[in-house]
Amino acid sequence: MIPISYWRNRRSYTALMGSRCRACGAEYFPPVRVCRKCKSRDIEPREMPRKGTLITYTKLTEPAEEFGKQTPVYLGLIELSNGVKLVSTLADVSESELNEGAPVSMVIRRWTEEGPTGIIYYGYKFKVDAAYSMS
Amino acid sequence: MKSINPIGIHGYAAYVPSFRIRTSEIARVWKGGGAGPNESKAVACFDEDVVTMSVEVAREALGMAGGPPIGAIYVGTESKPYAVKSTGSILSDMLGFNRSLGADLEFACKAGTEAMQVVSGLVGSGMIDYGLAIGADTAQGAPGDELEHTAASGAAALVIGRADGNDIAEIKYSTSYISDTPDFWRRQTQHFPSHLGRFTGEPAYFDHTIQSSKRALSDTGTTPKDYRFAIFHQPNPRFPFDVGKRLGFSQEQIMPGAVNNLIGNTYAAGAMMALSCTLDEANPGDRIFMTSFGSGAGSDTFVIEVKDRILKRRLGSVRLKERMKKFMLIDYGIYAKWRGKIRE
Ligand SMILES: [Zn+2]
Repeated sequence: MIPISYWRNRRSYTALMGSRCRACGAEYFPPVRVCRKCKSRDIEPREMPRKGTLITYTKLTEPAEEFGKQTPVYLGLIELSNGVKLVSTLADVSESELNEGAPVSMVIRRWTEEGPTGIIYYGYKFKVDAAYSMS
Repeated sequence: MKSINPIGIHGYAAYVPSFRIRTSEIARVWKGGGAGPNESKAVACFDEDVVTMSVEVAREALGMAGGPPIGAIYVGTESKPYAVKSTGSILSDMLGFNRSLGADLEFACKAGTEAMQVVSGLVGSGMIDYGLAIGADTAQGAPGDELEHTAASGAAALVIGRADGNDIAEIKYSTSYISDTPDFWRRQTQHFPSHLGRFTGEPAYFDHTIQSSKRALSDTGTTPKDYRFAIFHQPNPRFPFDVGKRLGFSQEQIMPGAVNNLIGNTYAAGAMMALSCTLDEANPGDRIFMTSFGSGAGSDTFVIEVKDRILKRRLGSVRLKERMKKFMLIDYGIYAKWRGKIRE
């Protein structure tokens, strides 16, 4: 990751800032400049809902080196409550809970860091709701 | 300490990470058996730190408070992710409050209540309307050190504003007692703290807790019987009950906030987390007596009175002690990998 590009996009990474088309109401994450549905350029920033459901996941046992001690990495396909889909790392995973339709919420976690002297990159991850796993 | 405006708590929250290690597992590795003073402790996941746990509690406390505009974010911690770069600055962006003061405070385990006092002062003087006081730590003991049994991770936050009728509890009084007592410290660039074993009990924890508490009781003209709840810092499961007894508080008054046995000592989050558990059980009109302790050493005491609003504001939130029942156990190998005890 590059510090400047992380810094520019930090509201997307830590507040799920996406975008919404003023013409047709379509919502996007990550943000877009042109609406894919109606081609309008009348786009406004929009925070995505922090809740959704898990559609499916995959487990990476040999991810990119920068993940380091975060291995194994669980990547989830999430459908947010507004219908927007995104791929996100999953947090605090207990594999038996990773069922299709499990309710998940956004949390902020460390993504990576630029070694011991560099910037720490924080961003969204999704975690299965405690109420779901306790029931 | 007197303020111009009355000071109230508008929202509270606490967070305990999902993972636990049993102290018998720590003792198995270092002593070949036995256990620590507590049963288990909470361990932050590899991707958690003071920033991530602080955002969690800040959001929840702000939600309970109805999302007021925040004029200050003070984080008490001894494990900030950057030695130089304010945790408050990172939180201001994540929470969307850029018109805010934001700095970190350090005073070992009482840094969180120190943040409560700073924010109370800003609200009390009228400089800000609302502020966030956070205590958060991912505390570590050196491998094999006795502190490794208790040094745990957690966070707690309070939204503090004027006691204007919308607050859930009023902070009626606060005082402190500090002195140069070398019971526990960590030098610049060191990963793990040092401590003088025989100093930690009598001249440090007990003396400061008692001095600050006695001053508070005498200033407010109250006795332990005037309070339904009492909170004392929990470096281990026993100390809060021992110091409470010496001051005249009963086990029943202290029990609601007691969490050390299962999650360990969450350092700067400790007393505030106990307050969170206590507020989960409190009713309007209840009085709470609270004294923190931080090594170095010092104590902050607060007298808090619960208001009617708590019943409404608390609706829909799950009690911390209930949430703590869900956890995943890890072994010493995973713990060492996650918490940086293996160095490349
Ligand atoms: Zn459109």
